[in-house]
Amino acid sequence: MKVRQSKLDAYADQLTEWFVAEKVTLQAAQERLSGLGCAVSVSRLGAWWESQQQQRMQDQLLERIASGAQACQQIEKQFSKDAPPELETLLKLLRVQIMTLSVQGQADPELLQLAGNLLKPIMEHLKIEQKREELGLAKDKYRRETCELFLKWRSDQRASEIADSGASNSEKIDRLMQTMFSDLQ
Amino acid sequence: MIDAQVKAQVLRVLLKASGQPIPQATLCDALRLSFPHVSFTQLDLNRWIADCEELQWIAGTEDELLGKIWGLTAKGQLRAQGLRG
Repeated sequence: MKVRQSKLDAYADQLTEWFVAEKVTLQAAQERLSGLGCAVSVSRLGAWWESQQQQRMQDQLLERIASGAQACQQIEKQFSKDAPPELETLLKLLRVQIMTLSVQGQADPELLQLAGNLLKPIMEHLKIEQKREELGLAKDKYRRETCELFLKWRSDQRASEIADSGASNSEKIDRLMQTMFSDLQ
Repeated sequence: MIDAQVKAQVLRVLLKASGQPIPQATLCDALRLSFPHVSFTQLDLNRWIADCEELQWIAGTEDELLGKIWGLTAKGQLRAQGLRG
């Protein structure tokens, strides 16, 4: 909120001290100001103080949002690298929750830290699962490749047998074609 | 007057969020807390937020988990940085 310039701005620290710490009334504050050479009506002083309070509230709110955003960025930095896809949703929810609590003024930095730390074992677990899955895939690939190699060896062996046989060339060609390309027929 | 102040506050809130998505409900909470002396209706708040979107200061996306979430556009970012306070 834009606050208009006022002659009372020069006394802002003093007025804050009077109203917040000493809890003086508007009337008393007006008298004290008068003693300092600043004449102002009670209603104007009241309006000025109200706008000051509103400005302060807005500043505090924006500060809370900024620190909430900072907490979110830390969590992103900590977890987003190599985060398994399952964790993405949790991270998104956590970040939005942090922003909401920050706006409402209920974000306790220690609890935010704790929430972040709670994600660590989940992340570790998901990483182990992911590695297990990758290992399973690698095993499958190894088995398949081994079988393919065996088939190739077997077909080479049969081809050699045909080539070494005493059959005529045209016979050998026919038998080789049957052996090598039987799956294409 | 309040119209301009609320729209400016929408920009300030999203600027301070530094790119973190802000759900519609949270943005409305922030506006209510920014002007505690004014009793806004939900319709008022929705309208101001929609105005900001129309001015291309903010952009909203529909998230299936979080509902509507808001962020500043490049134009809004410039506008927000030019605001005082």
